[in-house]
Amino acid sequence: MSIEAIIATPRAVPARRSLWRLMLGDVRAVLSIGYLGLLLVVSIFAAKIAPYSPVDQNVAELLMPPSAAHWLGTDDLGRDVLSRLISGAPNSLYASTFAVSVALALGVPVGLVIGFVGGWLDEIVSRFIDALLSFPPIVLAIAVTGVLGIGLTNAMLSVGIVFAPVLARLVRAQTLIVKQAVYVDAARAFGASTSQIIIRHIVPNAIQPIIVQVTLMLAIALLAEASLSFLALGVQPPQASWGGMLARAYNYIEIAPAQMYAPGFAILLTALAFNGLGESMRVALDPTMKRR
Amino acid sequence: MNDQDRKDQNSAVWFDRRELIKGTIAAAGALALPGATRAQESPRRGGRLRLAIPYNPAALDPMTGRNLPDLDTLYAVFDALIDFVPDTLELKPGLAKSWSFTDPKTLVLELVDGVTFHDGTPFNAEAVKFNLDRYKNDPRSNVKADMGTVESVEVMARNQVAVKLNRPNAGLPAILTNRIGLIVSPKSIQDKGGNVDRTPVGTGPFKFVSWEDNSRIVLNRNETYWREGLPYLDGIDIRIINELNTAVRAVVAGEADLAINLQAPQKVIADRSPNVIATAKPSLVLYGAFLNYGRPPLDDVRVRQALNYAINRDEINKIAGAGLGQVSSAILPKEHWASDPSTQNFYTYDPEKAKKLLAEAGHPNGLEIESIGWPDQLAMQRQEVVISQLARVGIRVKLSALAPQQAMQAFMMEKKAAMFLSPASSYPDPSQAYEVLFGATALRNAGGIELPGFRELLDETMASQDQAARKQAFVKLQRFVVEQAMQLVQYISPAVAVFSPKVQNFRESMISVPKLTEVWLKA
Amino acid sequence: MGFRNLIGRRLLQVIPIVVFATFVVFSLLHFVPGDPALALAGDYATKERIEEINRLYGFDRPLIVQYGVWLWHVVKGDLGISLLSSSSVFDLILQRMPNTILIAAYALIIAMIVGVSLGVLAATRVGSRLDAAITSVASLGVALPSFWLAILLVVALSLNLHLFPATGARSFIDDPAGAIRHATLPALALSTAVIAELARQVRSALIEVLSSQYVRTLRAKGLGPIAILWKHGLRNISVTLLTLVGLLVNRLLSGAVVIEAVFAIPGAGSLVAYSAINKDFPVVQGVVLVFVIMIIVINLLVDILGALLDPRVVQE
Repeated sequence: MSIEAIIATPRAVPARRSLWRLMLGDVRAVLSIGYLGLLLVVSIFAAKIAPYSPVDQNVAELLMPPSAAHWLGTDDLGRDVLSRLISGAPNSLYASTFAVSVALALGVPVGLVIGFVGGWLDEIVSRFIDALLSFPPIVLAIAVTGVLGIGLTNAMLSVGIVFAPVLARLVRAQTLIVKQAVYVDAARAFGASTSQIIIRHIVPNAIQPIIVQVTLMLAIALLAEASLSFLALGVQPPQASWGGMLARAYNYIEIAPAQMYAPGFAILLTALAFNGLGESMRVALDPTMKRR
Repeated sequence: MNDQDRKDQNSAVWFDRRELIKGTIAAAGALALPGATRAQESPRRGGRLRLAIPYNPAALDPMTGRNLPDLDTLYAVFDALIDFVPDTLELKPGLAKSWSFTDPKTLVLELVDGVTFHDGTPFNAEAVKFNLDRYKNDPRSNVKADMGTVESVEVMARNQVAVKLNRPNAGLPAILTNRIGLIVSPKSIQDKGGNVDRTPVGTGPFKFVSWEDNSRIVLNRNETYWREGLPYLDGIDIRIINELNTAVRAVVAGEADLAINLQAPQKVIADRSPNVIATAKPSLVLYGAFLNYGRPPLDDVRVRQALNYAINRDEINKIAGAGLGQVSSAILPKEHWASDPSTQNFYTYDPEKAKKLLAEAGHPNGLEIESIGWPDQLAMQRQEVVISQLARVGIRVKLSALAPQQAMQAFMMEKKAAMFLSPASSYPDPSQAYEVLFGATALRNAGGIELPGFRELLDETMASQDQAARKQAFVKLQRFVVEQAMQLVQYISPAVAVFSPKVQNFRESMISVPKLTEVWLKA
Repeated sequence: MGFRNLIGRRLLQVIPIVVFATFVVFSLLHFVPGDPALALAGDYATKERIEEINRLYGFDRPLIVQYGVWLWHVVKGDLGISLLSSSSVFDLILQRMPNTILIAAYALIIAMIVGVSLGVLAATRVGSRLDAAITSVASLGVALPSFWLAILLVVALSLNLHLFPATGARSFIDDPAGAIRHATLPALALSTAVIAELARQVRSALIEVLSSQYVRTLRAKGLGPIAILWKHGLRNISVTLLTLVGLLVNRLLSGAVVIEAVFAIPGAGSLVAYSAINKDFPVVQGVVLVFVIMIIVINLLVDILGALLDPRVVQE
């Protein structure tokens, strides 16, 4: 077993019903869940909550600092920054979840299959996965975006495609471990079919570290969207996205450096929340890690 | 460091000896420059200019390059047959000390004597013929279109060339200020088997030393330059800095002396810094949208005019151009000799009129237009403003962002949209601009058709060599193009440069590419 | 020995990986709608010129044929010529790669020094407020968009205080001091995510080792804490650390792409981004090829070092 697999494996398979209780006792988890919940609410009701329309331009009020009328000031087209931040929230949430869903949809089945079947199929696909993981993720994302075209959905599709190999590898490693576990042999001895084994035993046990990984990936996907928008491959106007706002603000750092802070902090806090959630889940799911 | 000191000492001694002559020339030149600072000082010889440009040249062979900013470097290494006054684009002698049309289809050029290329070979009529033939016939030549009216080139005498045309083209001298007028050493081409993309050898004020892609280009003074006393600079170290604001920062921080090919926002940034100078001069680069008027909905002139009335050019200029651009309905700035003052601002901001025109054209409830634009931040910003303005009169724009090359492909060849929001480049002769934008076979004319009357008016501008007659013809042509709303011009971008006060004699040019021959550095 | 098997196996894997990777990129680039001929014609594009260019460069041949031609040239050592600037791809990479390697290596060094120290500090004071502070900072580091940090650094340290240059790079060979100065801000921005990750992993791995039966026994025998930390703690996590470094190098190279854009560094990252957007196939493929080989070699070295430190690893 490779070192990576050793590192990635939790020691035991825990009982799940203590999960919620454990997490609620963890301050970080509470804060993260609270923040994400708030973000979800804001995203759903964005149109109602935002004080102004995010696309209303006002030439008379370009790049204004925060004021009573505009709590976070205005941007380079005179639009209210707070409203754009709010209406960017659903786009950013959508972006992250979409990318991770794509990664799950592509990576999990592949990982399960090659882990379970093994043999030459495993060899070939693993080499292919190694190939995809061998070059810097953003290069792959740029190339895929180039094929699919510029836009938020396509950019996140490409990010999802880039993440999929990571998930596939993780699922494969988990599948290998579980496959060797005693209870699978026991199930086989009792006459369970392959698919029953997969569904009843492998999936539930393999999925666990995936959940943690997924929340962490949500954070990375968010940051990836920001990077791609910065490179002019992401969001199309006049949609607002936090990454796009940051990219636009970069043009004005000499004139109005404050433009950078709002979207940057939004991204930071959300990524922190996703990470916090993931870390808390990881701790909660692994009793031997109590002191961590 | 020692070499540099020695060179400086040498030039100081040299300068003393010919001080009188050079001083006179320099003083006369300095007095004629309205934009120069401290014009009373005489030029100092020495120092290397650290220049920042935003684009990597596609190639340093005038024949195979393809983008306007290539000329930043090309003009330093090569001389053109015909030169131009930077502010007005008026023609003046270059490698050709005089020229004239002996008949409407024959242009005779008298060449300067005693000029040599950087490799020591002589510049003469043979070299000019070699170059012009190459521009016309070489398979790798990107500039064949510029040679379109040239039939053949004949060597009349050692320093006299006759260019025979297949039809009258009064714009040819102006075109010879650009790529096809740049003369490359024939020997250098032959030595390299035809490919001198990366090893330019010309007659220009600076010699090519090295080129690291997207990083640096190094040029040294041509010690045997044929214009007496020039250049003043020991050399130019060109840094390629893709990001415009970063280039400004480099000048502010003292890491560069001069940054060119910038845009309006950079002047705003530079103005906040007390230790740099920023200039914004009229240029020929315009921001607007190409229209496909070959098919609905933009085949109806009323719809095109509605677009023109619906946009608020002042607003766009204020936001995207920091108010430094020139609002215009026409493709040439008002300073240009061929512009028509009466139609310069034909379209005022009039949303009501726009709605009326739309209703007349059969779109009382507005309409949807598919559009293409570039994905970078500044382009997106302009698009956001235009889309918002058009929405107010009921024109709903559906925008696709594509990388520049794909955008061209999609709009020009695949005819995927009605409108393409894009800047339009500049050309030495206005007839070229009109041809490239509206000619039937022009790539930028996605509709592929010429509106009736256009061709005759364009031909008229090429027919006579008399400047006044040409101007009249251009005035008529501009009126036609503007009234037919063949394009959606928003504003004409300023040519912006930022430099340290050490830099003297820098003159921005209307084609947005300055010539650095006479620049010098204060100590 | 298991060693030779390990190396042999890895080298055998290199070829299919490289072929896969470059073919993927090749196909992707060719599926992008858009004619490279248009870019090559530039301002002077006319329909005739575009057709000419297509014929000149063989763009009208089938995909597999074009890829095969490229691969054949690579085997002979020829990486081709950039479509957009006519310079040899090999030369381009040679010019640009050192800048990327400089900031990536610089970032890695910073990250290792700071990250490992923080991780050790936190692990040896588990549960204390210092530990909590370090853990929080580490979480922050992972969540921070690196280019945002880069911009903040530029605004604070460069534009206002003029401590570091805001742009560009210098050749390390020509001007080491200048090179380091220019690379400092980019390396700092690039290193934060890696510092955070390293700190976290070192901390948890070290905690595990320090709380293991083995170490408790040593403690009971009277061995001092420093000795334990050095001889057993760090030795034992060194393999983990090494593997992690291998994974992180890939991330560093990826992060370099955006950082190079912010700081206008002429490196391989900005080269590949620019070329991919403008469909300069030979350059993208050449750079991808080099990146892939670099990463494989680094991972191989990591595995070898790991095997040296801990022979159990060889039995995979």
